[in-house]
Amino acid sequence: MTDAPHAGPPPVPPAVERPPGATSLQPAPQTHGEPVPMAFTGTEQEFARIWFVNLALTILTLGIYAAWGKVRTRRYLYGHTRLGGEGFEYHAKPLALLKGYLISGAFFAAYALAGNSYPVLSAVLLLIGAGLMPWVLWLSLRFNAQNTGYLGLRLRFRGSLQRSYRVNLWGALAAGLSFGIMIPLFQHRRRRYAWSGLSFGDQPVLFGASAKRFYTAGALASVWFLLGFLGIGFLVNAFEEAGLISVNDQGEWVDRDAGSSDLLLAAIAPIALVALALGQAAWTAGTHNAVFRKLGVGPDVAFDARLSTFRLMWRYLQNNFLLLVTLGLAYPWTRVATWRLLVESISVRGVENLARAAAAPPDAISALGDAASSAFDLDLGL
Amino acid sequence: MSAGPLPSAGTPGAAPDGGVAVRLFDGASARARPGRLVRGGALELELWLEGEPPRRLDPQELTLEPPLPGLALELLLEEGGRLRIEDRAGFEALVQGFAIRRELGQGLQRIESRRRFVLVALLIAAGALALLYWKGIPHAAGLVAERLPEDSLAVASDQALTLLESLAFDPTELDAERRAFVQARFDALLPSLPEGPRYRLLLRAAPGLGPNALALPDGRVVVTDDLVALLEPEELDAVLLHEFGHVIERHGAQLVLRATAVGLVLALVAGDLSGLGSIGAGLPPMLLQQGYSRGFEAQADRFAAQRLRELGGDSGPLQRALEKLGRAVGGAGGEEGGPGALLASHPSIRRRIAALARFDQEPR
Repeated sequence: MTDAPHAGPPPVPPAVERPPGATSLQPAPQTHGEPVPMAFTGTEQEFARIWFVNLALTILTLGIYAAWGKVRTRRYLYGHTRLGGEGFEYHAKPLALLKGYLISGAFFAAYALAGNSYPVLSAVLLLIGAGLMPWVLWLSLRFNAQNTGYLGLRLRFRGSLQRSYRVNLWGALAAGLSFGIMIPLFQHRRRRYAWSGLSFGDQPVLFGASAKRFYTAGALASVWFLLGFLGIGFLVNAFEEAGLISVNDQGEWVDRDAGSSDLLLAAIAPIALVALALGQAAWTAGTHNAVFRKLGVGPDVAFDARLSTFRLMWRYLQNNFLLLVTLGLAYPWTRVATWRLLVESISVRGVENLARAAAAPPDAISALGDAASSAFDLDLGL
Repeated sequence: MSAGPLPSAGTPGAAPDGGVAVRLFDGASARARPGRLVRGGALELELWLEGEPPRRLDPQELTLEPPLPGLALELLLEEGGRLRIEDRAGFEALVQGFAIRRELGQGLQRIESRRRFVLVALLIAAGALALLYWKGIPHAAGLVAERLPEDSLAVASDQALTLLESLAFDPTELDAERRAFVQARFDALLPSLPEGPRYRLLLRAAPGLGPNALALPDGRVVVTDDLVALLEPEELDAVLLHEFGHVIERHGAQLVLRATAVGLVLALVAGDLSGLGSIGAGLPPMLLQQGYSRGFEAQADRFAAQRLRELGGDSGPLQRALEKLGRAVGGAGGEEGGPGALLASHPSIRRRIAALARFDQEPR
């Protein structure tokens, strides 16, 4: 895989080494020292076993166990995600998650039930949901930060609620109304909000990525989507010219030969899948690198990322294929393999300086945010 | 590693032999402090940190998190902070006989590490999910749908119709004679139906929908002009009977209930499917729901075939109607209409026709 060494669980953090006069080319933050790659030391097999047992227990307990299962899988993933040999920590209490699940589950059920039968009620619920979304996201960021730790010290999120509304509500509206032109900007603002609100103990997280890089990533992704469209158009055209189908004035396909539109669909589906996977990989790799290359913790710790777009594309293609062939059973394997690829692309200069951080005073945080983010699948996409 | 200031009291320095190596993370700094955890008498543990006097720990105030493969044990201290312990066997030997608190899930790793148990878990999960999908959810949705008051169905139908009127429907363009004719066929079918809601016919022009018919939960049945133009009178009867089947079985309400249940179960089972670069993740809910609506179509078909048989015929008119609809919409038939139905509609129409033919052969 990468050149990242699979560090075992050595109990001692790496020794402090600081070559004199070593300078970084990055404008900010200024740090010294060799980059230390992040490593993932878990395995697909172990994670799959945990996941399958979770699944069975969740079903046997009518869903109650889901909160415990979530904590267990997160603790495994975080714990095996190592920086300088030390694993990350996940501290959330299952009962807190469960409370959030129940609340967001009730809202989801109300919305879905209203869905087809009471369009007016469902529109009202949708508006309420959209109005609450920035608040839920804000809660979720706080909850997740507070429950993520490294070296025993927890992260904190201090972004303001007001700003969450500006970014996640007005920003989302603007992005939606701009025919997609503002989507990269919106995504940039979302991540800037999420990252720059974080601190590691008393050390603030510094976010320096420019929106320009997000536009580059978006343009590259669009190229793949466009190629997919062209490919599909070309296929439909070819089918039409071969006299297999005709296209009526409503844009629907009509068979000339029985089953030929099924055949066309079978040919289009893989093209669409591949184009989407490639486009998504281009976007994810571009934004991931943009974010982590300009990310710092305090003045002396700087992240870097070298995620290869092609390797991520290959990963996504494999994920698609495996999930389809196994009817979703391969989920744990795809999850770990993707996680490892992302984690091991990251390296950090000045890891030893992290040990200088000290705790900031704690505050109480509800679990509603986290649960809502998984039940509604609000991907925080960091 | 910082050695820390020398304490003025106690006996700092080397820990006694025995016990296990630990590292203390106090939660107030990002620093690991190495030390040893040893027995300090019959009832207590002692924590020896480098350069500090030993600290007494009451075992009852220690909480062990559930262990995970490949990761150190995490022992939470009452006053905050945690001990990380790599030597599991050593720790278990040390605390033998002590009543430390253990969080739920201590035995999980033993289950997870046995292939046989994991396989059983997988079978339980798959079996339970299958049972839920094919039996549990339909049964529960049926029970709830049966008990829905007529009023709520009427409200739901009103709202749905209002939406459709503004989005898809125009007033019918059929002439009065044709309208009266369709109304008469509609009325003639009603006496053959079991007790149910009050059925009403609505004729609408719907260029976007093509030849189509749809049933609202409260008994209103919308028929598009294109459908009237496409079908022979007996075929139209058959399609109407099919729609009545949907109404009587309350398929609309059932579908909503089932879809909600499927969504909730999926959210629980696979909370975070995103981030894998797979639109495959959006596929399961769609396919699962399509499975349900196919089942409802088959049910309504059977209902119509049964009525047609009681009226002295067979399901021929319905088969012909399906065939025509399939050809006309280039895929979809009945209320599945629209380009979205392309995925499964072709084979499904063929299958539906075959199922109807089989029904006709069955003894009465």
